[in-house]
Amino acid sequence: MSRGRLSAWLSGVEARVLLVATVPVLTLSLTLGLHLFSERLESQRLALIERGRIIGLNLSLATEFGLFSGDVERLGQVLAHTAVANPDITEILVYGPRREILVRHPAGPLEAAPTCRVGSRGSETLGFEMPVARSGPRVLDFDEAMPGGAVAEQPPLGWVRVCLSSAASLARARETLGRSLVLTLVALAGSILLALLIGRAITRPVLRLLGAVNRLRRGDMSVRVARPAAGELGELEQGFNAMAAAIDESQAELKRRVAEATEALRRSIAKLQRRNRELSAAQREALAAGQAKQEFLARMSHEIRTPLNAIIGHSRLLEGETSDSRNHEHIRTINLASNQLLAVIDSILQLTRLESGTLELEKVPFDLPGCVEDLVAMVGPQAQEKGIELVCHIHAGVPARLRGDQARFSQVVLNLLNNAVKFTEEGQVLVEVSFDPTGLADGSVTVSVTDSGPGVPEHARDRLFLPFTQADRSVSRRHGGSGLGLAIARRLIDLMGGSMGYESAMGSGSRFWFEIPADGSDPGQAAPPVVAVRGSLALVYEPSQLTRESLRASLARLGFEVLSTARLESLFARLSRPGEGGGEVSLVVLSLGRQEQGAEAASEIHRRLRRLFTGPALFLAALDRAPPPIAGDASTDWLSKPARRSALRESVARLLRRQPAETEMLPLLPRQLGDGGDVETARVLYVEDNPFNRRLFGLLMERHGIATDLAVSGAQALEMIASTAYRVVFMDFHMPEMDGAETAWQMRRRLGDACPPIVVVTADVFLEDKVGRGSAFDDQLLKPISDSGLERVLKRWLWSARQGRSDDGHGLEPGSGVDRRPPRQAEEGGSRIPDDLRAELGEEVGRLHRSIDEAVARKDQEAAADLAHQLQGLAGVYGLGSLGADAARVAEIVRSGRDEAELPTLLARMRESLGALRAEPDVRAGRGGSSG
Amino acid sequence: MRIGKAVELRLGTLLLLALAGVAWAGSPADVAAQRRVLIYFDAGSRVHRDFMDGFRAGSADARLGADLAVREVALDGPAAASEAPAGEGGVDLVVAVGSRITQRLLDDAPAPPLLSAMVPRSSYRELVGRDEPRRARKSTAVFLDQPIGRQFALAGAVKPGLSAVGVLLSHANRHQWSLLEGVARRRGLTLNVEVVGEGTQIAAAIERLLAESEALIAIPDPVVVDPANAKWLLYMAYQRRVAVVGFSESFAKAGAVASVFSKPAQIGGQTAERLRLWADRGWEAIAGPVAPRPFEVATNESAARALGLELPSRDQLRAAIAAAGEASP
Repeated sequence: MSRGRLSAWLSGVEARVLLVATVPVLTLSLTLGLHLFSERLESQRLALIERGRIIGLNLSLATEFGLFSGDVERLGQVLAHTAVANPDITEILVYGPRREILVRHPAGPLEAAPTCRVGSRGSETLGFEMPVARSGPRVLDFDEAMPGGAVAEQPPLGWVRVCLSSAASLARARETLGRSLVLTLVALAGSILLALLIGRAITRPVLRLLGAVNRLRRGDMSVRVARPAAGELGELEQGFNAMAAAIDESQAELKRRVAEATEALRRSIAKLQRRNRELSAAQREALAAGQAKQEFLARMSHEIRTPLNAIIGHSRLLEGETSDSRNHEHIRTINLASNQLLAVIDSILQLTRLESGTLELEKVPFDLPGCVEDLVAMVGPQAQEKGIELVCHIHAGVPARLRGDQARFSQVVLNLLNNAVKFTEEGQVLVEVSFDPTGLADGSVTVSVTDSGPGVPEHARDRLFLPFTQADRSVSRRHGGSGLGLAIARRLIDLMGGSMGYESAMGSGSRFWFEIPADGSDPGQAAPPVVAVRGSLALVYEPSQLTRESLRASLARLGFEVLSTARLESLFARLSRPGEGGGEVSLVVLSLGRQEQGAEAASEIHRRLRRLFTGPALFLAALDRAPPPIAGDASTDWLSKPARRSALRESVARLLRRQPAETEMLPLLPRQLGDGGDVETARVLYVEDNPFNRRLFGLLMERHGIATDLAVSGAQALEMIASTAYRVVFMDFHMPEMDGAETAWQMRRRLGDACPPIVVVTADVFLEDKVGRGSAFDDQLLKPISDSGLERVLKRWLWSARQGRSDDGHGLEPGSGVDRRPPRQAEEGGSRIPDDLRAELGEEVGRLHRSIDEAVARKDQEAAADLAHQLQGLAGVYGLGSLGADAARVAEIVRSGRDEAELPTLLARMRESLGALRAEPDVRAGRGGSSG
Repeated sequence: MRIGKAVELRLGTLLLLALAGVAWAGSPADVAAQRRVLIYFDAGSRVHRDFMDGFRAGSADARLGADLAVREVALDGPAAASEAPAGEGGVDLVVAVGSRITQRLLDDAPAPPLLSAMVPRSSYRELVGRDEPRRARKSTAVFLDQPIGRQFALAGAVKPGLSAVGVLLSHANRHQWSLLEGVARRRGLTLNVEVVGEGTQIAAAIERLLAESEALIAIPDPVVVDPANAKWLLYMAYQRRVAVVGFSESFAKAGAVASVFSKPAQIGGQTAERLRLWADRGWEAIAGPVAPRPFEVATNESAARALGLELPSRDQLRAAIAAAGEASP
């Protein structure tokens, strides 16, 4: 057996049982055997001694008479008899009273020493000696009777010595030992055998059970212990069998359940896979539908906007050329309807982007009060037309600048303002801007528009913010509108993280409001510079209480003590009493009511004023311009209502500066008026690879009085910005070599913070989503370039940029005190082809068409796509709608490689459009223009 | 302790003697006529106490108190003899009970006449004849030994037709041979005597005696009283079918067919009688030692049956002894 197997066997149950059974038995057997053997030896030794003593005693008795009688022969007989009876006796000696040897057996010389010594236990021969006493009966009745007195002690008759050999005893001891050993070995063997049997009896069921457990562990669930033993092990085996049966049953149950679950899962998976396939298909369909929707919207926007621009442009041309009032009215209606249709399209596009989540808001600081006042000013004429008083009240504490998307903010406010003015027949519209430092997260700005209109009907309140819904269809019919304004406004406010709501009471008007976070705003409204000596008295006449209060607050912020009145006569009465109640009047503000709006009425009031007061006077009226008598008065200024605070302040400052230095004049704002030529000196850069587009853009900007440098490529533009500081850069998106985005990024990297705003000029309406903060472009100007679009961009980046750079943030605005609006031509749309460009345009379009034809013929897809895009851009700029659409389709087919069979048809149609362009110099080319 | 106790006893005895002397010195004239007798005995010995019982009874019978002032001196234990007080003046007779007290009082001075009671004959002769002073002193005895003729008479009574008897003597008692021969002759018996001396093979001597005798008379001799000798004598006699007549009750128990002996009380009574005699007739009346007069007979029926003898009763045997004239010493 190897060492490992031996070790394994020793650690097994069988070996342990064997050891347990044999070791105690062996130990006990050996101990008892040794003990018994030693006891046996000792008892044999003692028996030998006792025997020797008894033999000696018997011999002493037996030899007494021999010794008494001196009969040696008799003694010899006794000794011989004794020796025969006791084979252990090796020698017997009888001594006389004087210790002389009288007889010895076996016979030998009497002089010889005995063969044994008395008491020598160590030797093989033991010696025993007994005296042969003189014994006998007492024959005296008492001691006194002893004759001669006391009798001396009588010596013994002699002694007997017996020599006993222990050899026989030792032999018997050896025999005993041998027997003991044999018995021990037999007992041991029996014990081992018994232990083996017992061990087997124990280990066999254990091993049987262990084998069963191992088989069970290997997964054999059918294993059972065949014949369970008796007793506890049997119970254990039966328990194992029961457990195995339970496990087997459980396994079977589990398998059944797993199979069922697997089948159910398989069915579910199959179902899910089928559902997934359906969903995938649905998703693909939805994506395709969404893509189609987007493409449709893009195409529709392009397709609708282009003819609409044509319609609007032509209607304006006709409006200027016709003198027939009836035709004039028709044309105006056409123009109005077209603009409404354009607005609807724009709204639909915007709502689509909002709902698809693709609209991203800017986060740029802008002038919050100025923005609101601008919007109020925009709606002002409409309100005046309806005789509605429009009041703007910006509460104290409103941040001077708010971080956000000014365009979307303005859109919402304008929507609310337009609605208020639209639905209010009389009364007033109050615009309020307030700031709550504890609102929302970091404070909030609330803008509310309160009107005195009819209020929102009860039945319409739940769906007021739903798209395509209006409170009253009759109103819709009367006032128009797509029903998208409030829906878009609310979604925009939601996108800004704010909330929007309204309160309304039928017949009492409505209050629409929204609250947006003032995140990143200036901590507070910058205190407007004081223009008057503190405590100077200003007299204010304003029939409307709201406007009067607003004027009072504005003038108070400029440093005036204000006395206001709703009656003109009261003002004149106060002027007739100079020095009374508040001291000398420093300024008179006359805000004319509806009855005093006419030039004559205003002139009359001016005359009455001047009779009483020669100091600075400010007229606020609905008229844009002052009547001649007033305009000639250097101490009088004229502002249209409602006056922005900045305009009011500039006007007051200007009036006070013209006065004798009897009042202390505070320093005026820098470049307030001196920068009036800023627009003319402003220079912009236009980067465009197409020469016709460059020329058209140059003409448009020239009409706006803006100097424009032209670059033919991105590389040239980068060189030019290195040497010239441009206020705005206009960038074509698609350019060879370096496209607009790359050029813009390089400009930003090179100029850093000094980089001017970059406006991308493109026909792609969805590119709008890719401009703004974090992108290459700050804004987008859609092709064809419209006057309104261009004006919006210039207003935002050129004119307001000038405001932004001013220290007080209240720069002069177009349409404010100084009329800096672009020339009228600019409002007529940028799609009209200048006559001097027509021939060249035809040549260029023809060249591009030929190049496309050639590139298609030689399968140069990249060149064909690029040329088609150039033609599309050219057509977009000049409003060649169908030509542009065909060019776009050609570019798409060339890029995708699909539907190439359509290319010849498209190229032929483009050739026809080119021919029409050349043949009809005064008519815009393309079917898009004529199809209306 | 033992020495202290002996000294105490001695002082006590001297005090008693002194008191006795004072009493006697101061007694009236009639009292002065009384003779004074001291009797010494071993109070620790049962034999001595039996003797004294017999003595007192005999004293009363003999009315010793009328003219004798007998005072008992009780000694204690085996050492009494050697430690007995010295003699004192004014004592007319000293009675010593036993050999040991006799030996002690023999050497005392003054030496009043001494009556030794219950002593073996051989011991008395050896004690009294040891030196001249002792021989010169007045002494007499009442022996323990029976008169030798009494055993011969018993032997004849036990074994009728007895003709030859044997006696074993030690060398020291060979002088009794002639006495024995006289008794045997008077009884008409043949006497066989074996004297055992130094180097004598006793067994052979016994064998010889038994070979020639019909009965063996064991006398109180040191050779006979030796237990081993007595055992083998009885054994060999039995083998030879020879009857043995002993001198003590113990001998009869040991295997002798019959024994004749006197009890200590009998000897005490006889001693009182001797004092009566001395008081009445003076020293000379008791000057010769005497054997005990009263006696008893003991028999061993088993031994007798073994030997094929039919023993008469003990009274018959005593009567036979008396009839044989051996009742008086």
